[in-house]
Amino acid sequence: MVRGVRIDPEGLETKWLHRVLRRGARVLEIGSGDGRSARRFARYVRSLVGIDPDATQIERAKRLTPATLRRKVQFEVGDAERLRFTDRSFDVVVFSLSL
Amino acid sequence: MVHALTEAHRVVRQSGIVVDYRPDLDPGGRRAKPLELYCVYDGESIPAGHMIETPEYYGDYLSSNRAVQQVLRRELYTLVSSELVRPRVYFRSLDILKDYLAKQWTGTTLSREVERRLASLLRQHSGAIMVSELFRVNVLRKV
Repeated sequence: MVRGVRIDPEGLETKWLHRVLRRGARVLEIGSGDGRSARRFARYVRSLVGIDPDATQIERAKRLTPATLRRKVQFEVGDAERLRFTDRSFDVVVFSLSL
Repeated sequence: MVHALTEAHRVVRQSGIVVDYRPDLDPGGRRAKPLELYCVYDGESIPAGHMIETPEYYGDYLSSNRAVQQVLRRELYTLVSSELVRPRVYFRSLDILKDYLAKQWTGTTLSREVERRLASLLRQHSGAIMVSELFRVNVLRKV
């Protein structure tokens, strides 16, 4: 969130999610940045983990996520090429401008 | 990039979905359409030109296209759908846009000509700036 900037207020970025996500899906977002997309995705999913190599962005993502979402949406520093997660632990993986 | 798609294949369940969301490119490796700028006011929008991206910026996304093609050839995934979306970003002033370009969109610049045109339109209409960019959403299913 930057003062004076509104990113995709029409929600076009997330419209395609309706077709891709089942309610109750476990989602991994790679390249979650400051968590803007993750917070939008949250309403459609059971749980979401956002990873990003930039620790500053991860701290920002945590700070910007409201308390009501924190049990559902988590953020951590991570490398897309060395994921710490076990095999078959997600229903959906999203590369947000990160591939 | 292929490594990242291979890791995603490992952590996603059987028949799970991998979504690749990023700026669109044409087959020649240039963006299908550049980032367009508009002055918007009272429900109206006036074109003001487009941004200039660095070749490196395109290069990264071209490599991503190759990576997706490679994992499809290896039959790690099948392509379920590929579609375009055009989200918009609004900036309250030219200074805010320039600051954002310096700190966030570092692969993109504003030409002097477009900057002058935007400044003039904003003075005339007391509007805001809208940037529109074409994105591709590739949906892959794990085989």
